[in-house]
Amino acid sequence: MIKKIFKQIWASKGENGWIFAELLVVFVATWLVMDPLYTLVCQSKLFPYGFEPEKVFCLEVGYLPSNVPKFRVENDNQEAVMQDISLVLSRVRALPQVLAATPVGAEFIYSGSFSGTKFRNVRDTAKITNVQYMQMYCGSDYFKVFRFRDAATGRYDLLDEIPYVPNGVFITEYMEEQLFGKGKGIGQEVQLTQNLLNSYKVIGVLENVKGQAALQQGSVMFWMQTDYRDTSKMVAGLRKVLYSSAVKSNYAHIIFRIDEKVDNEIFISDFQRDVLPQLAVGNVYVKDIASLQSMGEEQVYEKGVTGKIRTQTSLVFFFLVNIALAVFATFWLRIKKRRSEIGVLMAVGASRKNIRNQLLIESLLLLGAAAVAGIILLLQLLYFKGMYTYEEGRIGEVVGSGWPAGFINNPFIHFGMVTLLVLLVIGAMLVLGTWLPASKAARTEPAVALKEE
Amino acid sequence: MIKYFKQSWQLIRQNPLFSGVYIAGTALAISMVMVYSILWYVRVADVAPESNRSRSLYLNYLKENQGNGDNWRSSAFSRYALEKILPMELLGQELEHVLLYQKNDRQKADKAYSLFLPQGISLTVYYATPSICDVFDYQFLHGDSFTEEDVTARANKVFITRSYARKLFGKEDAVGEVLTYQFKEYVVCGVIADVSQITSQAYANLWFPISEVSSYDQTEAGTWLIGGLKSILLARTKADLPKLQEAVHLNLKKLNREYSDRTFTIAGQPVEHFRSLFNRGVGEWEEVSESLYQVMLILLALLLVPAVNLSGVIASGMESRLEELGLRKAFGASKMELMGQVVAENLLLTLLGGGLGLLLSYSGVVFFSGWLLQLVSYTNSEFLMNATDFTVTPGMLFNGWIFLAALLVCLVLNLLSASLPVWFSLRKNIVDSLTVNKK
Repeated sequence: MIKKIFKQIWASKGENGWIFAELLVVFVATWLVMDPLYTLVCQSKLFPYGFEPEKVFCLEVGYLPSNVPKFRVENDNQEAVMQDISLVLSRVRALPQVLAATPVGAEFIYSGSFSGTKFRNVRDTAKITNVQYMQMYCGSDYFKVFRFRDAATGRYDLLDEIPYVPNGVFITEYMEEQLFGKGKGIGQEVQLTQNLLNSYKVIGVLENVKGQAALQQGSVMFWMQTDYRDTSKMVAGLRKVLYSSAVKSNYAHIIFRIDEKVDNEIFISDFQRDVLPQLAVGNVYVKDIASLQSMGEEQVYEKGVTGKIRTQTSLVFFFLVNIALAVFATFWLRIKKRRSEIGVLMAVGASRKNIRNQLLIESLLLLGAAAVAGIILLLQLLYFKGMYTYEEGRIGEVVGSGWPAGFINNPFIHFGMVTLLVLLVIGAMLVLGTWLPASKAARTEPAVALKEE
Repeated sequence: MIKYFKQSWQLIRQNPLFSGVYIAGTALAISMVMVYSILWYVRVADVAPESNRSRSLYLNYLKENQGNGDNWRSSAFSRYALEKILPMELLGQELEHVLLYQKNDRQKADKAYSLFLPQGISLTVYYATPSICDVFDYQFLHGDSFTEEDVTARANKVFITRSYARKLFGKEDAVGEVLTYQFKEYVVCGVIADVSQITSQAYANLWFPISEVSSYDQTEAGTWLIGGLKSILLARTKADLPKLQEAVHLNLKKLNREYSDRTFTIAGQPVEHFRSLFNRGVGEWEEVSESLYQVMLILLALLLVPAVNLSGVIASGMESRLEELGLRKAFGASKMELMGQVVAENLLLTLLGGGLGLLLSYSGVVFFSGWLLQLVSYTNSEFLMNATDFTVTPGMLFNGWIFLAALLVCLVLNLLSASLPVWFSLRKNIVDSLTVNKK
């Protein structure tokens, strides 16, 4: 059957030449547009976060300016600020929907502001990696809120029980791999490459985390600042200095997780109406509530990734509609001319299904030929240009070629996946464009078709 | 020509499917190209209220380099820095107006303490010198802008948009009303027509006098040069732009001589409007040629892919007309004549498709401008997420440039798609053409 179809294709090479040219152009164009689309969608939408942002909310804490009537001078000191913010925190924790809440400063995951720098292994200073790092308070339910998971056990709930270690840090698996080797991180020390005074002790290794919403998972580090439970004078004093200054400078936040069963939209609007006004204590107040997921989406948008995804999607769509229209028109006109041939085929016993399938296979074979030629062309192009990577503003280093990042970083899988996607969508368009003409051809009455001759 | 159009009309009626596909394909191609062109047009051309784009220069970032350049920081300017480097001596000559401003995006409502702010909507706030009304063509519906005297007297005045006046006060004429912003009361002095986010530079919800910026008073020497203010210079004519740029660079050189331990740079600024669209963050401009190259590539793909496809469609259509063309050839018609005939015939179809495509692109831009604008946005965060006010004004759509572009695209597409298949068909000799259907 296939051999016959090949002969058939060759027999009308004039017209098929055109379809071949169209398919070749569309294949290459769609491939080049699909490549960034694939990378960006994988990174920003499909790759796992490494934690659970779905039911997490962020409260932006504000501090009244001193020139407004409501400002209370008697509350404008570290002691009072800490009391007031603690009261706000306990009111949030007391809400029935809230599972856990944690106080943080300016930097937390998807906060929009982040610090990144190079860290190295203290004992083997040649091992260096780029790290995105953020601070946390030990024992403040930080892990119960975000649900970063322990790499060894896959659990998040025990991490908050780990006792306070001065300058203790949690690192992600990838950072461990870069600096110490897999499974060898705990108990080791890291230090900044520019500041050798402090070193940080690794007290936990976490599953890989996507530190920025638009990017791949990378090296992320969480640094224990103070113990939130410890009420001893020194620790509480340090905490007071750190957190009250964050509150007074308007960059403190409270992050909390709600019950899975509560609807996000309803929760936000109820919260804004009923709870927000009650979260004003002394000079401390809460500006607004936002879901962590929407903050992540906003990050993706602000990086221009959403725009690029839209551009690429509309281009792919455009190319596909074009090819569908062209194939439809060409086959329609061709069937008119091939009526006699179809009549003969049917007269000698071809079924209607045979006729339709033959035309479908004809067009798919043309796509196969165009794809082979297209891949040869693309390989030349990619040899010089490389495949698309999106790394803008990246801080932590990417995970490498394991799962899931290998889908982008491994050139063979990357090329294969994009090619497969392109073949699938163009193939679907071909079937769509050929189906109607092919069905019409299959309805031909052999007697009528032959008589027309 | 008319004769061919008549014939073409006959062919359309005889072969509605072929014509339909052809027109649809053309319409699709034209609409994509036109959406792209319109979006670029509204981002580049002088469009109200940014009616002076072509003679504006923007100063946004100052970079402070310490030591050997490893240590640097970058932000906007302090008032002191701007007064040092702006060519104020040219004011009234080549320099028509100077705008100093601070613009804050994404101002969240302070819900616990504010009078009223709509849920989930963030505000964009301008703190500006009164010259903002000379630089941008804001349309005042009620009242007026604040004045130089208001800035000097630190008057608590504000002008707002019409829709914001309605939200806050339930009426359009809100002049004299009092609103609370960031715990402070302001008297509304004017209400302007809403500004579309498409003109993102002019866009805001609230406009306060620049004296409300707390650091505005610091003009002493020795204060920071890095600050929160930006500036727009409005030249008298477009031709004066280079002179202004030169003057700013000269002033910067003078300023740098005052510091021995650090240097200040402004990387390509003050920048013209067109170049400013390719801003990639802190004072870094993408090579415009590289971006334009990308734009050209997209436009080329948008034209080439449909052209090849339409060629295929025409080629299939030509088969059935070979007889007719062969006959004409036999009676002495030249190749060029026949080519002209087919191209002209297709032109009618292309023009029909083009008209349809233009309509499609208009409705696309009108209804989905917010979504579509991302396609031509090269900056990171110029448009706000979830923003709604991307109103498209008739002036942005119905103008000579857009129509001319549409016509041009039609002609190019027509020539590209029709000439090649016709050329191929005409190469066949007369006898073949005449017998093609009688095999």
